[in-house]
Amino acid sequence: MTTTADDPDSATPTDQLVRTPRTIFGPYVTLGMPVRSTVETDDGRARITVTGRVLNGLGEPVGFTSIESCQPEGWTRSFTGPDGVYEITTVKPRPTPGRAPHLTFLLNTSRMIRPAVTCLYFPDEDNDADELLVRLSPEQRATMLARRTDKGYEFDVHLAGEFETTFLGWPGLLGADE
Amino acid sequence: MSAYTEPWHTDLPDVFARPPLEAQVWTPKKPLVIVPSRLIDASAPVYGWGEVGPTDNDLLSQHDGVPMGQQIVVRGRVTDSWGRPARDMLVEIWQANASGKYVHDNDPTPMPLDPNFTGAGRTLTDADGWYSFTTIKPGSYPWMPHPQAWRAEHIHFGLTGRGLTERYVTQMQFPGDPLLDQDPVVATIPDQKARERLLCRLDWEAAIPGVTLGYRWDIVLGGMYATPEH
Repeated sequence: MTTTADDPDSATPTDQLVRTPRTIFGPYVTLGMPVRSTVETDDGRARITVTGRVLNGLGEPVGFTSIESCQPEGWTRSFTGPDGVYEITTVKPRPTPGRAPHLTFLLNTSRMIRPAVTCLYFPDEDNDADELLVRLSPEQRATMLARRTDKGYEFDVHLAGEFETTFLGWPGLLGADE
Repeated sequence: MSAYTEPWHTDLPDVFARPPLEAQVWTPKKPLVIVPSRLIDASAPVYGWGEVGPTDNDLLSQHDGVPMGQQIVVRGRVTDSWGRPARDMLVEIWQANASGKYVHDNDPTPMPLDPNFTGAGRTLTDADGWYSFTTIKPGSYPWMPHPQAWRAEHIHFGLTGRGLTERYVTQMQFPGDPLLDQDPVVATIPDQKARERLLCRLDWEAAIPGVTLGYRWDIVLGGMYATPEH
């Protein structure tokens, strides 16, 4: 169990190799991440625009962060500019069994080792029975609710501070036995 | 198996922190809300496999001219903890040029850009888990404001593929680099054995004789990332 092989080529099924540690994404993570989208928008549904800011614990903008927005129809990747502002054009997801329409956000910021994961919910949908939201406190739920604006929806992500966004994990995420 | 567990974000050692509230403002302070994984419907966004071109792993050929710097081949295997290959993994790299400068608006250093070098590449691992890149050796660069917070030479790696719930980001460092022990990012990894995993080694079999040096760097993703047996 404690045997460590230095070379995977010589590893036998009983050898255990030391895992390569994950490291922080660093300030230039977006260099290798082109902006793009796979969301299908040709099924007649209207496009929506989601904008917002990524903010640090002092309320200052966090630039050069990638936001990957996932939904059943595909995903989009966009970046914040120096002003911390991002913009996503997509279609509003349809509800699925047990779930209200939502976008799952993965944020890649400089100090992250894993993406910060949260969800965006829409204020004009029935969110009461959503299987994820029912597990959260009202305060936690509030951080995941977008605002309706003239142009679409607005959703700020607070990395820290008084208004820190609720970030999600799953069992085993941080375990040693991955 | 290593007992080392990783956080999901990290703050730099205090000596490198920007005053006044570095640790308090850049990373979340509340614990993650753990929910069943079926409620996290975020598969790692990846490029379509078909969009990876055969020369996307040659960072020397992305412009009209050849970039300045030491040309190197970096290759290695991606495996699980038992040495079984992780095949068809998308391996993406991003790095500084030979002067230590990134093609990125967020880079405040005064070093020159290289018109023939972007510093981003990608490839897929083959059936035995092998990847290969041809690139130039990246320069070290300062991470101000601390005058000694220089980053050791490194290439960032991001891996996505089957079995990964999200991008696996790590970085390769070069043996013999005098900055290794002072690098503020390496310093955030408490486990010495894990730190050693970031080091590549000189590999004459990977070199192109008379043209490039070669380095080998194997990446061990851990048990659950093993490519399914067929």
